[in-house]
Amino acid sequence: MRLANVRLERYGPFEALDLPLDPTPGRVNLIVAPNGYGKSVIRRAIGEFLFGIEARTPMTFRFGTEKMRILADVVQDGSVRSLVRRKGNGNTLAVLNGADVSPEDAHRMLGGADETVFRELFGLDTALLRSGGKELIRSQGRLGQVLFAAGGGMGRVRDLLTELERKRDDLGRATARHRSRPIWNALSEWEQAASDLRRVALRPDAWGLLERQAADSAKHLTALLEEQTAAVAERDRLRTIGASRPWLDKLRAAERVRIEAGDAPELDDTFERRWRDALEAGATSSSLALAAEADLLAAGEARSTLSFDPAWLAVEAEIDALPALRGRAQGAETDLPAVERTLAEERARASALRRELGWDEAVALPPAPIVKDAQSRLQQHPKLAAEAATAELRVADAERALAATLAEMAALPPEADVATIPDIARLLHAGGDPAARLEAGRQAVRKAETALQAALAAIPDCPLPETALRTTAAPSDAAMDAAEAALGRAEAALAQAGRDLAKQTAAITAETAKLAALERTAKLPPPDALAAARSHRDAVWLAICGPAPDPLEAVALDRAMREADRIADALIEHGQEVAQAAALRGRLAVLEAERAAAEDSVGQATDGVTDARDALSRIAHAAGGNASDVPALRAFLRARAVAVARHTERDTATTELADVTAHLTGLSRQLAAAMAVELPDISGLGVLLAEADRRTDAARNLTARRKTLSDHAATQRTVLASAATAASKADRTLADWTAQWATAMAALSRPENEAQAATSEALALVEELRATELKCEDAHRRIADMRAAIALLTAKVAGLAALSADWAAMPPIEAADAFQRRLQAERQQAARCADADKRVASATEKLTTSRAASEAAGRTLAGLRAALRADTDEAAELQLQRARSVLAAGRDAAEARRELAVQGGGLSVEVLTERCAETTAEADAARVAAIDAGHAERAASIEAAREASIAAATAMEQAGTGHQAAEAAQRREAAQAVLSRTVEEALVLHATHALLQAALDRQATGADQPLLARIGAVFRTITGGVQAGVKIEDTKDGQTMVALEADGVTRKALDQLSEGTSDQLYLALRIAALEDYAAATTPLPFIADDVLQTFDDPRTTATLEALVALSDRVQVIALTHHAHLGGLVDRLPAGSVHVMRLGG
Amino acid sequence: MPDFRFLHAADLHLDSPLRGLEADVSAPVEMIRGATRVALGHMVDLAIEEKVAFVLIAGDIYDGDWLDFGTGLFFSNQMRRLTHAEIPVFAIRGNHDAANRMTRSLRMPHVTVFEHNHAHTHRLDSLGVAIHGQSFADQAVPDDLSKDYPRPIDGMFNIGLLHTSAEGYAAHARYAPCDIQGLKSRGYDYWALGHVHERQELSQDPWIVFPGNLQGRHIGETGPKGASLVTVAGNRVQSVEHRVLDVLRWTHIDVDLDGVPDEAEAMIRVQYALESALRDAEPRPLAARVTLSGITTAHAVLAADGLRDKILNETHGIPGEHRLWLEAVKLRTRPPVLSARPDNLGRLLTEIDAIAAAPPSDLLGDWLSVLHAKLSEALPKDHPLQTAVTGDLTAIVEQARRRLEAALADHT
Repeated sequence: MRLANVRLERYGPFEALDLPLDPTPGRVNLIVAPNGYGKSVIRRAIGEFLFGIEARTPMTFRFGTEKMRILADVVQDGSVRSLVRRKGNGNTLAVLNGADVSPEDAHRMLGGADETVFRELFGLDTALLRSGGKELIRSQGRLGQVLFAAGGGMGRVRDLLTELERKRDDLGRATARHRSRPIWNALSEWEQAASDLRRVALRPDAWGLLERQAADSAKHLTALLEEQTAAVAERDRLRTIGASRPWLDKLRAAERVRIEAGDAPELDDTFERRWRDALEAGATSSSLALAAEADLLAAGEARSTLSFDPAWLAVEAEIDALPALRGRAQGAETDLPAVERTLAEERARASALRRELGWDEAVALPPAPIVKDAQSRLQQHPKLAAEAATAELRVADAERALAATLAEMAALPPEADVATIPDIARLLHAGGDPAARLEAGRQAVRKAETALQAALAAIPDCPLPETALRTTAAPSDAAMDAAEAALGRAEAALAQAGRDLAKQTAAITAETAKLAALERTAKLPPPDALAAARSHRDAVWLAICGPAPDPLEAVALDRAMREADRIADALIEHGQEVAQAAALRGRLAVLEAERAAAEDSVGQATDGVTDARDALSRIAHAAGGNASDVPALRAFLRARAVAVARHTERDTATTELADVTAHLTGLSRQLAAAMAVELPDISGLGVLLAEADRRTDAARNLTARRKTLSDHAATQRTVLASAATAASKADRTLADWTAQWATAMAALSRPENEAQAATSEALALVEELRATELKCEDAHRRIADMRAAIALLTAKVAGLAALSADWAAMPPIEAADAFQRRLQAERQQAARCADADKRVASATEKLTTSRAASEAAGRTLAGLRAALRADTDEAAELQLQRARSVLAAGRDAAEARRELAVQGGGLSVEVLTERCAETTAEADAARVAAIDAGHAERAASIEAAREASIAAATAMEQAGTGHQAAEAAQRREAAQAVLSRTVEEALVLHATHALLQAALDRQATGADQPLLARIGAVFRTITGGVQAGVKIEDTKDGQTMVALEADGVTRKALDQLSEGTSDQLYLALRIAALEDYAAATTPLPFIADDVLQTFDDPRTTATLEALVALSDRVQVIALTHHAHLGGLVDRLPAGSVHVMRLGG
Repeated sequence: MPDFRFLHAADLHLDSPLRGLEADVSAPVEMIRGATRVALGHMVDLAIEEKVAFVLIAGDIYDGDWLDFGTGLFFSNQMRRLTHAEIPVFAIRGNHDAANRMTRSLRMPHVTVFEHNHAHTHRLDSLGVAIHGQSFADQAVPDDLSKDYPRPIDGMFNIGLLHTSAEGYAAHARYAPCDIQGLKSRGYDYWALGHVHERQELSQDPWIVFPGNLQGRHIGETGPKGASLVTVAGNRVQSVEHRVLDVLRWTHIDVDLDGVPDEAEAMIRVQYALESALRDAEPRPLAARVTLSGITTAHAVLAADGLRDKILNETHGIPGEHRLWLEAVKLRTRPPVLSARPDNLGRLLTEIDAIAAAPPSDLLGDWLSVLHAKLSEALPKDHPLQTAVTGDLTAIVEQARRRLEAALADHT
């Protein structure tokens, strides 16, 4: 595909930039523009036209995204399509003013290339050229990498190889075991974990040992515990005997005492305490009786000196009430004169108010609600009167406004009939100025006719006249594309089949050589040698077994058998080589079959090409042409399509002009009739239209005014009715007020005709009078209360005056105070008399109680003396002492028996006595000391044995529950997993490296000689013959490319080339790759951006020659800022470079 | 006869290491290490809680190459718990038990173990149950043991306890093979099988059941694991319930990225898949293998280093993220076909495809044999290096081809 007429709209710095590219094969497009003009923008624009505008393209910096477009004519297969690429989502490529270009169509247009291919192969600038040259040097000429680098900046494949190797070795080199590398570190971990697992895992013998250790520990512990138990028992026995000795002695002593005091009275344990208590009770009760008698005497004497007057206590309630009465009376006497003065003043003020109102004392005050109501009505009256007056004024205003509107309506002129004029005028105005439309139609006809003639002249080699050409049938785009694609596929299939056949042949040759070498080195017999030898042997044997054996046949049989054995031995000895040879033969058979298939494919592909060309020829004849190849047919069809389109356009323009003329004439006739004027010439249609518009506007204005006034009058009528209703309502309200006011005046005892101001003042006086009379009533009530309090106190004091004649003449207040003081004194005296009576009663009771206790104690002592068989207290004491010694001996004997029962270990007194007699206390003590001395040693042994037993049991328990082995196993698994993973990753990296290297080597091997020759030729052209070309050499690293000096013999390794020369070789590789690409599929335009800037003039000219040659197959668009290039172009064949100068 | 319930378990593989979480440094190492023991504890708890009449263990209590006697002691202690709860245990030795020199000599005082020389019967007369079984004598038992199992006892509930590969499962070695029809023909009421680690109900009339193992141990043993609780009433099986007993769950998470335009969209799909898998496994921890597949333009980005970390990053913030560990991330995506490109890259890829289809035996040179000599003992038998050294390069070269495809696509 090629581009023509590229246009950038609102893209980058350009609001509109036209690039009139020339798509002609064999012609380079050279765009010369100064630095900073936007050459890189143009390069980017072409890419975005082909593959879409990047979502975040920086080309919006000046005009934004709105209306950003890139337009171009796409020339492909002889046809031209004007396409436009807009910015947006989804499918953004469309035919100009037409439908979207489908993705399939776009893919076909681009020849299957994607943006990466465009960027890597079809784009080249100074930086890429330089880096490509460097890549060539770094590749050291390895052919695979060189070719790959040439194919589109894929020199990074070398980096990929290096990276794969480095990553593999980072995981661990196969030849050196370093723990720092993951593989070897994981292996060490695995070995350590496996060792740990073997070490910590519990084995049956270890478990048996644990069991034996536990059993031995338990047995030893049991023996020690038994020994300890026996020692403790002996010690306890000796301690029992030792502890029994003193108690046996005490028992014997007590028995002796009891025998010696045989006649002493037997007393119980409480007897002596009761004897002592009785003696003490007798003494105590006697002393208490004496003290009670003395107290009784003293209390009686004190009571006889006290007395009080019960008459005062009889009236104590009345006297206690006097203080309250006294307080009220004293307050009344103080306040009474002031209240009496207030009463007199308020009465005088009330009389004055009545006089002012004109009322005598007989006139009753009107109730307060009536007065309040009257005051409220007085406040309402001014507002009601004002509302009635305002309503009247509004009615008058509304009546005046309505009358004015009706008068204006009556003065308007009558309406004219212009109903049809506007519609006709609108039809005439539609489509623009009628005169301009007529002129445009005429111009269109002239232009279409001119274009038609030019298109007809441009049709190449057309045997048919214009009319006959229109009757031919052009193929559809799809049919043409299909036919061309079929031809392309057939040609590609033929090329591929050829390549396949060459590959198969080469593979057969290589495998055959391998087989021959193998048979030669291993001295292998032919494949069927053994079978033949055995067959020969069997044949000889059959001959021997026949009816007439020949003696010589025995010798032949021996030889035949030896030969068969020799071959069999050789086959056995070289079994591996035999197997390899068999595999090679099998492989050769497969390859032969594949070659046969490839040969068939070549034949079929050749037939396909012939068929495809026939189909194209048929298409050309049907379309009226004689073209014999695709470009010519495309060119004919494109020109034919243009001519047919122009013819149609000319016819369309003529028809449109006639239609417009007829349409305008008809409407003019209708308009003149509607306006009742004479029909003008078509040139006077403008004046007629202006008059029609004027009349239409006047009629519209009058109608609008009439409508406005009518609406206004209706509104005013509504306002007038509303004002009249409001005035009537205000009048009624005022009349109601007047009627109710008369009633109120009567209730207030006011004259019926009194002015409202006077009435208002009178109402204020009435309220003041009401307040004054209330104050008088209050003062009068308070005076009556004061006088009653004074009288009550006087009466009470008089009632109590009979108690003492001395106080009858006292003022009531002083008398009340004196009564209270006397009553208090009488109360105190009465309380003292009551206390004296209580002391006498208490002393009498104590005396009676103590005399009774003394008598009881005497009776108890007498009984106890009788029990002691004694007459006196002294004899009783002696008897009591003898009885006490017998009682103590009994207690000692009982205590000794109890202790012996406890300490004696269950032995009877008799047995204990016997055991004690067998030994001595000293001997027993020595024996116990000896046992105690050995106890600590035995206890320590037992504790040690117990710990050992626990430890053994714990070890068994832990052996059953521990995770050590599981932990080690898990570590081993983890290490194995890491090892597996890293080794697999290393293996994959190694295989990836090997696979890539093998593929590159195969590509180099498979590189065809024409391609290499073409690279050399372009290189020679670009260098102006300084370099004769390139040569391929076989080295230990595979095939390597070297450059040839001008003599065509001297070689130079690529890493020995100068910087400029390596750049030129890289450019040669790229040009050859582009041509190779173009041979396989539709190429894109090649854009070379300032790639010549480091070349001198001769090499620049030479390079332009190479680009001109390239442009036969691939459109070349070269961008440069060197204006002098335009001069160099003159050295090239005329018309081979299309120069476009931008930016002045 | 009284109604009763019993528990049927198999393939305990006690202390068998769990494999595959080593790559995840945050993996719960303690839990993983003790998982099979805890699962056995769960089984004993279940038996006691459900008051089962007896417990059946259909072989492979231990792992074949396991050498720690402590494992047997742990098992014995757990069985003692059942003895204290008056729940008898009947077991047979499977191929792993038979292969294990250590455990062949281990006494199991709390378990009734069937002899290996012939099939015989234990009767539980109080329940009316007859249990028929036979242990493996050796690791390899090529014969159908079930043929010589005793005739069913009339009037009793007859159970066959058998370790077998049945009719063959690709993932399991073929031991004591038998067919369903043959088992049915014995006339038993329930066949308690072991050896196959996936739960299987081969028949419901009569019931022939593989309960699966108690705890999945690697990514090959996915899904809920446990034992079968069998209810018998009126001398017939009323129900067979699978009771989940595992501690940690394994699962495959396959994410189809076909047509996905970029890495962001791919990660959204991954996150959704992770979230869904975690929800399914609630509340257990989940060990997952994430496999990305499909043809996508994001292939090159995904194939770059750090994919695992990117996926781990996607787990942040999803409910239950702390329960998830990645066993592995497998990239099975492919870029759109590059070999169809009409440039040198397309031709190179075509060449690579051709070599990968039939890799020459000397493609990898002597690097293989040098490394293999040093590592063969430490690597699993099925490791690609072990396979490659025998000349089979297909699998590894296919990986290499994919790697190249991604790398070259990325370089474009």
